[in-house]
Amino acid sequence: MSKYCMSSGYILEAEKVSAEYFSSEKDIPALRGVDISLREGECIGIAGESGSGKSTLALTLLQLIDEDEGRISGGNIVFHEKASGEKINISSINKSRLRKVRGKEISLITQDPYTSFNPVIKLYRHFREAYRVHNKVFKERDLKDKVSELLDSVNLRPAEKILNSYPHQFSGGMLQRASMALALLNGPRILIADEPTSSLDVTIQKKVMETLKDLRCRYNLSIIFISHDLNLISEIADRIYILYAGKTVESGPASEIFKNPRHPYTEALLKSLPKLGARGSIISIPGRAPQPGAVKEGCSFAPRCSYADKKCFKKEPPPVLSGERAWACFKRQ
Amino acid sequence: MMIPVLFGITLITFFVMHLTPGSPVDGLMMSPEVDAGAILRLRETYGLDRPLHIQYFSWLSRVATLNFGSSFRDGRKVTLKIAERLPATILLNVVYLFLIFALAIPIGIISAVKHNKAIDKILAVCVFAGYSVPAFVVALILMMYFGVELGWLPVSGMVSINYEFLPFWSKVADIASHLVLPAVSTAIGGLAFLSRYLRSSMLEVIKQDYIKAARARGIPEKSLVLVHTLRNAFIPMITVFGLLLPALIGGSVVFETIFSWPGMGRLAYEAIMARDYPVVMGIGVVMAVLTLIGNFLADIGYAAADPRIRYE
Repeated sequence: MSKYCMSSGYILEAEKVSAEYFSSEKDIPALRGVDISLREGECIGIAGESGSGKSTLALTLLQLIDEDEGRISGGNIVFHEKASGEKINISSINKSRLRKVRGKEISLITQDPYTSFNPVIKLYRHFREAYRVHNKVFKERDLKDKVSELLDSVNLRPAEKILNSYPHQFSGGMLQRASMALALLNGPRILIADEPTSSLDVTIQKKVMETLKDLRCRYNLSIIFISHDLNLISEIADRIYILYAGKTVESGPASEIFKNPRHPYTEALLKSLPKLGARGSIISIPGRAPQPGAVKEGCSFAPRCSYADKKCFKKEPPPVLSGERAWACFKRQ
Repeated sequence: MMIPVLFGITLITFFVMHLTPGSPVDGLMMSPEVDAGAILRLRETYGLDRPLHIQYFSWLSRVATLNFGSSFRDGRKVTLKIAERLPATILLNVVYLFLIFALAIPIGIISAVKHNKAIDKILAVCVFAGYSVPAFVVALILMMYFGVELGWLPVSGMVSINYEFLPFWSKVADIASHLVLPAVSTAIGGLAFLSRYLRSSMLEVIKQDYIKAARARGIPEKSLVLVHTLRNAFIPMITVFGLLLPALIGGSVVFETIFSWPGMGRLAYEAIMARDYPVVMGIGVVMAVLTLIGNFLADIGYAAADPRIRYE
């Protein structure tokens, strides 16, 4: 269990979520029935290669897939509202209700911080605009205090100077921390961090990760941490979901998965992590991750799997459940 | 950078003007009362007998002291002739600009927000119809309908005959009614360009990740479009605006002639027809200066609109 205080109640449950992108020939499935659940105060890690559907999952949770580009084709996303104890089905609420969830209950930080700010608007206006959407009446003074406190908690000082600057005047690491402060402005309970450090230097990565952990404690956040980097995920996540070709191939508590992976893909991923001081070449997984839409019958990992036999190419393996863990493989029953 | 450009424009204007067949004294040659000697003397007086490059440099040296010379036709100062025509042109173009932006911006926004929907397609057909029909045809149709058939609006000139005797507010109304047809017929042609440009520019911005990020913060669609998208979509429009400034004066040659509008355009047309070199050259300089001012304003506009290119 996590070292952070948490109740065991679920705050977000997504089941059988599917999404597809339009293309000129046929729709390309990016998510093919993914289940995830998040408890209050918990941090889950979503790992996968590019094309595995992890960013699509982030967008789907907030219903942010552009209607020209694709659609959410199935599943339910249920958010448990704290104040009313009500369960909100994000996938079916109307737009104005959805706006009250976005930023207020669930916030998103993206990979490239420069793309989360409007380049021609100063930082303060971003904060003010986001605050005004969720608080009809407020005092300018209160907002300023709140923003200063938030900036302070992500180690950005002095607030006055930061807020009077344009996004391009910041370094990537600073701006990513500012985007965290912005994401937390309306006191969300869930933070979706989609590869929050991937566009940053390794040294800056470390700082951003520290900030994220610190914020998690301070504001009692539940975090969905999406990354292709298992090392980063292991730093913060309590539980892990491994995505492959738009499906969850394995999920469970982080420590158990790292110690004893069940799915051959997870095993191969962990083997390919370079170890400090180790000699020889880095082990890689043969072949390439399938392009979304090019998935054939059977287990999608079978073509790259060293354990695969005929059965694996014919039928899709059903998930094997064992306590908190689940994996989908015929070979590991 | 501006001086060489200005120099180049006057050089080209000068030689193109002199390459055109005919000369300022042609009209006189037809007259039986003017003998060949008189024409020679005239040519000498105006320096038309000297080699072209000499003529150009003597014109240039005079212009350097801001002396643009006098018209061949009525002997009045070129600067004076231009100055008395400029206000009418500026008035027409300010109204035109206001009109075209007031129409093109909403059309562009609606087309972008509802792109590929019915309303977008209907608007596209309308603006392209206005663009495809030659502007003078549109002008004549409008004149025919609103001026002749309905008799609502005057079809030519800037003021009515009794203008002098009208009280102040009636004067304003009189000019305004004269403005409607020329301004509307000019605007119809330009609408397609500006509104489609804004549409594509907005569609470009709407796709940007920062719009998605703002949406993720719960910002309503209305502010996404009107604040975030429009502001960024306007940046490339500034160039268009800069280019429009001189093109307006050039374009108005046609419209001012059709509507007998007493502006620069008509002055240019009359001067070219009469081979009134000093006036043509004077207008050329004004146009060149306007082009440069347009570019300069566009640069300043860029810096104002986009903090990323501000000079620190």
